[in-house]
Amino acid sequence: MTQQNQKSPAPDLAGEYVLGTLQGERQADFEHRLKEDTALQAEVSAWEQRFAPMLEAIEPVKPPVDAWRNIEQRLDSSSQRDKAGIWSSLGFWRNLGMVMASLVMVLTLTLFGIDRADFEMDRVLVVMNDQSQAGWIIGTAGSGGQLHVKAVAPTQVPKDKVCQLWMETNDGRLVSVGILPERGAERMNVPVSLRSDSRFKISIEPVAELPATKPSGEFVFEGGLASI
Amino acid sequence: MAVGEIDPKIANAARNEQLKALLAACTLKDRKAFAQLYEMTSSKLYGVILRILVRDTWAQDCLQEAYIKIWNSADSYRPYLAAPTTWMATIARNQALDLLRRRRREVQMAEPEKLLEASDSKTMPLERLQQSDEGRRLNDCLEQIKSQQRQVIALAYFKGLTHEELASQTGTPLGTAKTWIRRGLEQLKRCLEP
Repeated sequence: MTQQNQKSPAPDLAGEYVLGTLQGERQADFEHRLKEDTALQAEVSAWEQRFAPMLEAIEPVKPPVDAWRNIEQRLDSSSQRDKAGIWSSLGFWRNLGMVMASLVMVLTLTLFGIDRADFEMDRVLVVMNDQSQAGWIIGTAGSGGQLHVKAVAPTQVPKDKVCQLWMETNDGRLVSVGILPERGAERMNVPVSLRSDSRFKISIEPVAELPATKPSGEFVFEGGLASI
Repeated sequence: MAVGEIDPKIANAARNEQLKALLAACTLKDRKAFAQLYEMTSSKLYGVILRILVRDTWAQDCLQEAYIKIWNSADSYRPYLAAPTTWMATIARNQALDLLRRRRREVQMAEPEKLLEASDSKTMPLERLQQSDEGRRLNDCLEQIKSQQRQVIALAYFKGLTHEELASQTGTPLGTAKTWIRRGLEQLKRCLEP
């Protein structure tokens, strides 16, 4: 890039990103770096804090009552799960899934066209669905404390249930990590330190009463991360 | 302070702890927690969005988008990096700026002269910055930088203007607008250093 003005200081990319003047390709490049670069994340956060008083100073305005109703409706429609038929084959899912997880991992990555370079994971776990196909892919990159969870063909569970992901700690305690997404990809924070031999388990839970310390029923899947 | 009065700082800290707990519950898809989170924060966020978008039909759509985003990305909230209200207000601001930029592109193509109808003189609510310690510090630092730099920073922050739009809005060459932004940010950062 040519220097527009000799006296102009070098751009503070995090500052410009937060301000909003980083656009187009420069913005995309920056966001790409931001995903994994924790130092850069902290810089962005520091800029957000510097400007935060400007947002804090804005007078609150009560939104119209419809707004909340519309939000609720959108959440309802996105959490429609009504294919209870397949639910009955849960046992099948459990038995086959546990055995096959690691065997089909490489195949799955190929079959579903998931580019390793694109996914940027170095350890993955394929969670089988009730059809003993890849339901979700859970991956970790580097030493980051985050799980990248991608829905491939999630198990269809009744409307009021969800698949809850658990992690086993060193001393055998269970901690809840989160809810496996129905579609798309999500990042989840790992509540305890992640090890190469960390075990993950999945249970089906009522969405209204998610357990915090142990599943309400049996685990339907369990597995560990494998290096790729 | 009179007996029985609650120190606003303590009240604010307690409120932040409660918001953090509600966000944590949202990561587990707890709808009741989400409803409470909305109850506690929606006026704040709607104020932010309305400030940026001005039109309330846009602002209502945007508020929904912002809360859906908060619900879906509650697990990416890092309590050690930002206060919950800052995190949520940032999401609201980003959603509003995205919408504003989209609309501006549409308007720009249809009626170029209407490009910047909303760049009013109230762009930066500086007077209300006096209400908190952080706000007073930011205000002091903003007052130290040149008024053109302050203006381009405010237009970028509240109206999402690009370098090119800032240059045309202020009638300056692109390079100058860019330099104002860089200098302004550099001076603000230095001034706000602890």
